[in-house]
Amino acid sequence: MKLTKHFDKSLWVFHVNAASCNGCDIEIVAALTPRYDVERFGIKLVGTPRHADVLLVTGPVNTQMADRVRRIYEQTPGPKAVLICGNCGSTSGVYYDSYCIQGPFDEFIKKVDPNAIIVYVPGCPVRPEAIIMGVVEAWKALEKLRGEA
Amino acid sequence: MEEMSPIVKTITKIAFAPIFLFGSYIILHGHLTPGGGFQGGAIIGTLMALYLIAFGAVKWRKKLLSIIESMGLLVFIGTAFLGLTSGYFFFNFIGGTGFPLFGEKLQTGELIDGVFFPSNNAPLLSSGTIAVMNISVGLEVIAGLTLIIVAMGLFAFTGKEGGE
Amino acid sequence: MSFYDSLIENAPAIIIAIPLLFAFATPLISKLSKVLRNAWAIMGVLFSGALMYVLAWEVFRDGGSVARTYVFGGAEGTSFDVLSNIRITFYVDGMAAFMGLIMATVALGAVIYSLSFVKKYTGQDKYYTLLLLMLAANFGMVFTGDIFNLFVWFEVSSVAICGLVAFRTNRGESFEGAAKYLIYSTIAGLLLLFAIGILYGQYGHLNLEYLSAAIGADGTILIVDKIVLGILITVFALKAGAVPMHMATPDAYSEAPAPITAMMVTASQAGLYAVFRTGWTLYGGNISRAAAELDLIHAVGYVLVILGLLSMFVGVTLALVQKDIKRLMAYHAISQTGYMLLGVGVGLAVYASGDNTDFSLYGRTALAGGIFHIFNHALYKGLLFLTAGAIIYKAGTRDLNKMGGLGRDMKMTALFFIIGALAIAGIPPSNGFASKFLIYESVFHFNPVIGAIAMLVSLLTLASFVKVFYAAFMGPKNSEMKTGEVPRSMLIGMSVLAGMILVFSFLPSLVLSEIVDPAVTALAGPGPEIGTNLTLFSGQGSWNALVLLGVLSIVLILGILIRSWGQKGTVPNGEGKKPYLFGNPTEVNGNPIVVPASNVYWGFVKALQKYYRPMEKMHSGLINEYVFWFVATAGMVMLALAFL
Repeated sequence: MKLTKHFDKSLWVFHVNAASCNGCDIEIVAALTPRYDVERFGIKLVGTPRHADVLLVTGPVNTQMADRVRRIYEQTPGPKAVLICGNCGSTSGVYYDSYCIQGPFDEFIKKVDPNAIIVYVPGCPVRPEAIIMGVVEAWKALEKLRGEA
Repeated sequence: MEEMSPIVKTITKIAFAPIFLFGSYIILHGHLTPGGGFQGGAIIGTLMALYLIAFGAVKWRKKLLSIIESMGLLVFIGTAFLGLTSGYFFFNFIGGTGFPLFGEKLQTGELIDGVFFPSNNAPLLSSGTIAVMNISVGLEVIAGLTLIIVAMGLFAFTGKEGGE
Repeated sequence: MSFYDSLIENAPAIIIAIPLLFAFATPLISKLSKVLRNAWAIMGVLFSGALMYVLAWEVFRDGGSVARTYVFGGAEGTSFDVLSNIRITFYVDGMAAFMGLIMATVALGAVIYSLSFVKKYTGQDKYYTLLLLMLAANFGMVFTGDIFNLFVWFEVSSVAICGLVAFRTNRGESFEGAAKYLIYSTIAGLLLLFAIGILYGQYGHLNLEYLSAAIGADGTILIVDKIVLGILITVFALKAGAVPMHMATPDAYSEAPAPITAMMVTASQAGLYAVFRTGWTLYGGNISRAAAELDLIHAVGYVLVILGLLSMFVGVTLALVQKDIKRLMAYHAISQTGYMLLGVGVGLAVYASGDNTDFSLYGRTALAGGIFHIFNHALYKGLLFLTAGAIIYKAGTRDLNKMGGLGRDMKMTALFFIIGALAIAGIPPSNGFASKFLIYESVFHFNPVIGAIAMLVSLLTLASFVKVFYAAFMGPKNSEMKTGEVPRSMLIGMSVLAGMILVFSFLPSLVLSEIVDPAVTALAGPGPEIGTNLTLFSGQGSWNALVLLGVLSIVLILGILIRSWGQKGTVPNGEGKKPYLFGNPTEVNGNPIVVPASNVYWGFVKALQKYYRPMEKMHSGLINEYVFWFVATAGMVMLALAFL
């Protein structure tokens, strides 16, 4: 999808927990609170994916959440990006090869939407400064991606 | 429900005349004595109820009764509208003016030897539109009450709406 | 005299007699053919309505300063000495002509609507007969100048409405509603007869003009007068549906066929008219304005204010939790009656406090607002009931939880519903806002808390109509419901009322100065005008509907322009079009998941459980308890008036 040139201004995020252990979720909340304060960039947590620009996902995707994550991704209006927090989303982390895991998040989303824009923030759990660094790196990358598919 | 005995049926047939006469008396003298159209009609309506109790579920001519009811009401309101021809709605344009049907002229008293003898100032046939309206309302109430009592009574007899 | 002059002179009687004549002839004509009967019924309503409009034009032409008296049965030169205690007079002034206009308009819309609404039912001849009788009784109640005649028309109206409520004889609930309404109205009527008997025994005359001159003529009000006043106010407030005498109203309104419910609203406003007549003319008419009488009217004003507050609040909070669409609207009718009682009660209380500057500052505006609200309420409530009838006609059920998705096919009905819902909630620029504006401003000046409660009630009204709109028109289509728009005659009936609402919305000052001011003058005497050119002036502010319309259209054009500059085609197919349910599937076994109407405000209702539980116990469904509330209220009002 085309990203407009306004996409790197204040982004609204929606947090999706796809079977995570909650460690990364706590760190995400810490990032939004005044000590690490991502809200000074205008980044705000919204209650429905209809309002979101970025889906902030944690955890690997298990069987119960698979359908729901797919639906939430599709119900988020474009242009959108996915920010994967933690090792579980990139590589399944400690849950590698478990009986109920559908795959790391990026493989799962690529099956749903091959053109999805994905940003990885590794860590187990992710440090809040790493999340901020991840967002900054994403902006630099998105500047290159602007106007291109 | 069982039938009533022959005594009840015969007395009902005999009682038709006095009750009907009494009801008509009340209707016609409505402007002189207490009563009038509605009350007299209700008396004759009870006569019909008596018939219903005595004879049970026989065929009543409901369509005729409905037509009588509507005609009674129409005569009533038509007479009221006809009063407009003399100026006011409901105006009594027959009473006391010499109209052949109900408009006997009112008589004044006469002075005999210095003593004033008042006359019968409001004879029976002088009331004009009041008498017409009394009779029409009487007919309407007879028909209306009969229909109501027949509808409820036949339903009670046979358990079906409309009887039979 | 020319034909026109004699027509106008006899008009008060003819307007009542034409529906009577047509009603009496309907059973005969319906034996001939159906089309003839329908045409006959519409002609009856049209003729009396047209004559009513002509009479109203005549009465309003000189500002309502001349009241017409018509003696039934005519006589030359009636004075109050000769036979006046057995003559029936009709007294048509600005207020009576105003109410007559309302009844004629709503009846026209309702009878056109009935053509296709009752087409599939049997017993239609009885329906049209009773409808015409109800119209005659409505006119009779507002034109009469004789208090016993008022009782007669009160009873005719009760019987006609009871017959019509029970029209659907295949449902047991219709009989229950009719029985409750009949018992309630009959007990009220008997109490009214008792009060009239007391008045006759005391004064020897039944004529309203004579009584208003005789009561308090020597400067003192007897205890008998106060008792009668208490009974009269309570009985007429029962007919209007004020709390706590409202208990039979929701049953009766919900079981009647929809066009009859629209006319029942006007019948209840005839009861309101009787309340105002009692307060302003019967007991307030003495020119000497003796102190005792002013005290009494001051108390009456406060009684009306309290009744109005209770009605507003109880009506709307109980309406929020209803599942049945017509019961919900019936509770809203009770709530809006509270607005009218509030406005006129404030006017009465200020008038009687003797302070003329206060009265011309905000008391007169309150009175005008209450009276204007009567007309507006009849229009938009009638329209809402007609649209409810259309929804029920298509959906086949009255339960809000079972309806859905009718908006796709019934676009005109949805539009009429939106007009009616915006009007009842008092959203600018509708006519509901114009009258509520007058009421808010003047009542706020009287007592700020009451003004705030009035605005809160408006909010809750809007909330409940949003719920009805969502349940009936939005959501996925339900496969059991019939498709397509309602028949054309129903649309025409609704558009009559909707057209008048639009006219009133954009030209409120015209309506105020031409129609409402004469009515206010008839009740309270002449005073400064409220609306000029196109702007309404209350004591403190002004409202111009056309300016707002201009602003709204500019905003609309801007919105359309901005939308056209946006990116096209960004809505994807598939899941993007379905509602968001936390990722859960939006269909279960092929049926889409919807939030049922009862759960839309579950949080609000659950938070107010302490209020709703006792309310539920009070509305028990037993007619005995309803009659107890009525008698208790009558007693309390009598005591309040006797000792205040």
